[in-house]
Amino acid sequence: MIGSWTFQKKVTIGFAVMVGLVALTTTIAVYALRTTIAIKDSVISLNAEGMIEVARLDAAFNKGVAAFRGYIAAPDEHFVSERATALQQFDEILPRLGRTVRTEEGRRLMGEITKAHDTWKESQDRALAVRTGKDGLPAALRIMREETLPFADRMEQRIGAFVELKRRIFEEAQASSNSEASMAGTLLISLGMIAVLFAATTAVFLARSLSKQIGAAVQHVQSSSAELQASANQQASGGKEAATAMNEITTTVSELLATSRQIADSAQQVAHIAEETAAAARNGDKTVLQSQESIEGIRRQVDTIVSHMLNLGKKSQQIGLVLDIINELAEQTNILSINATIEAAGAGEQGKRFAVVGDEIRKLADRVSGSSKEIRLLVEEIRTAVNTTILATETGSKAVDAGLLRFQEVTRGFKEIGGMVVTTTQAAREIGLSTKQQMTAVEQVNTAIGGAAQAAREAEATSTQTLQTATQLAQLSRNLSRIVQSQAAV
Amino acid sequence: MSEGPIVEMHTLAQLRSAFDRSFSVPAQSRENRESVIQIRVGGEVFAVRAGHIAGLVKSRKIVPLPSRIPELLGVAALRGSLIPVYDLAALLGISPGVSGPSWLMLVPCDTPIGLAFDGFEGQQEPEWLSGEQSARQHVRQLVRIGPAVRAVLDIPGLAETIRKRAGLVEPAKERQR
Repeated sequence: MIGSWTFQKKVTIGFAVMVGLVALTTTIAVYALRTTIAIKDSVISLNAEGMIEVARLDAAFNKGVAAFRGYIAAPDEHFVSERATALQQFDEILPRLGRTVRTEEGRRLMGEITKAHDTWKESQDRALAVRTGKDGLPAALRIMREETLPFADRMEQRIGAFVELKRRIFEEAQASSNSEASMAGTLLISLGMIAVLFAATTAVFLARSLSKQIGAAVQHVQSSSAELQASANQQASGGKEAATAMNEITTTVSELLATSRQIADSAQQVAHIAEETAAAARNGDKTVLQSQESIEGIRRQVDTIVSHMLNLGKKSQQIGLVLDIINELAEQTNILSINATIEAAGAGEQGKRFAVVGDEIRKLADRVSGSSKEIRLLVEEIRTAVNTTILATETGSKAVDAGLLRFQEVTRGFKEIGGMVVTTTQAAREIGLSTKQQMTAVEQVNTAIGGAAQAAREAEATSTQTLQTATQLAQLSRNLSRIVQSQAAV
Repeated sequence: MSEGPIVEMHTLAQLRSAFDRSFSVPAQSRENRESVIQIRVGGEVFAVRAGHIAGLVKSRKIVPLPSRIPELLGVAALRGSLIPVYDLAALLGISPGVSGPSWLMLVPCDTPIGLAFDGFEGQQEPEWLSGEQSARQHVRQLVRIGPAVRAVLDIPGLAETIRKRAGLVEPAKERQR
């Protein structure tokens, strides 16, 4: 149960017990001191008063003895009054002395003193009565010698015994008071030793308990400070990373802001270009319509060209037929000339000139035949070219048709482009507006991120400070642990 | 296209000039120059001395005749008389052409003979190659016409062969010859 007490409770209870012990010791000491003082006072006052009163009684007795003797020697009234005073003092002292007597022996001695005093007083009275007569001195001396002096001796003996009793009682009281004081001192010493022992035990117990508790707590604090240090370290590194990340984010957001501005500018340019494109599309539409009309004209021209080419092909075929005739004629001429040459050779000298003519005619026919072949080749080339042209023209016509279709598609495309450009313009305007809003938002984000970056830097500084504090705490806990462990070892 | 008329005019001028110049050449220079005609037989081209034939005709109708001579195609009407027509490719042992012979040349002899061939390639004055002989049958000589070398057919030999095949030459006469 004590192990679960707190440090404050243990210390408080330990000091409370110590204070209780001290209070008890102090009370006992005060009580013993007061008792001792009371005993001493009682011993001193009572016995001293008794002794004083005994001395006074003895003095009054001696004064009465002296007055008696003076009167015996020289009867004078002065002695009588002195004797009366002495007796009166004796009578006055005797009750006071009787109040100081506590013992039976004292009271017996007081009775004997009183009785002896009365006897002595009566013997003095007789002696004094005798002294007043004629020749009274010897009688008085005789009474004095026979009665008064023995009574006075007895009186002195009783007083001496009483004094002795008083001294013995005083010594006994003094011894008793010394014994009481010694007992009180012994009790105080015992209590002091008990208190010291309890204090030492409590100190050892508290030291052990507290060292155990504080050691555990210090160990806990040490481990916690180590964890705190690690956490602060991580927090510091995290803070640095956060600061770095925030810087990077700030840079990125700045770039994003610049990009947003560029996008806004580009969107404006796009809108402007889209408007220009719309105008160009409208112009293109008109141009396409004009081109379509021109292509239709080209198509008509191509049809005309095709018909002309077909006509040219027919003419070429007719030329071929004529060439066939020419070739046939040339061939016949050639044959005729060859035959004429052969016939001329058979005619002898008369036919030589004719043979020359025939040979030349044959050559002409050969050349005509060669030329007709060349013409045929040329005509064939022309026909081939015409056919190629016709094919090309037909291809061109088809291309023109396809071009017309394409132009119609282009016209539709231009219309769609116009619509899309309008849409694009609206979209570009919306993009520009959105981008401006985005830019504003990004500026706000940039500002917020700047604040966050500042916060991150402050967090980094704070975490660094926390790290330093954790390090100091760890050092402090180690020092404390060292202190506690050294105390525990002691 | 623009050069065509110019070329034609140039050719025409050359023709006129050559024709006119031919009459200014002395006749003596022509005497030693013997011309040949080129004919196409089957897939080959041969040369024939112009002096060995009596004439050329084209596209004459040949009426086939039953004969024991396989080279005899039939008879054709020429210059008012019927003449036998022999397949020159068959005589030379050459595979005939695809479209059949459409030309005839007349071989002058006692009974004119017609030799049918596939095509007429023209008449030229060749370069006679002396000292070079051909191993082919009925080829007597070789000539160069342009870059090509042509075999000159032995038309009289062919005519004699035909006459022998036709039985127009007696064996005794043959031996005398």
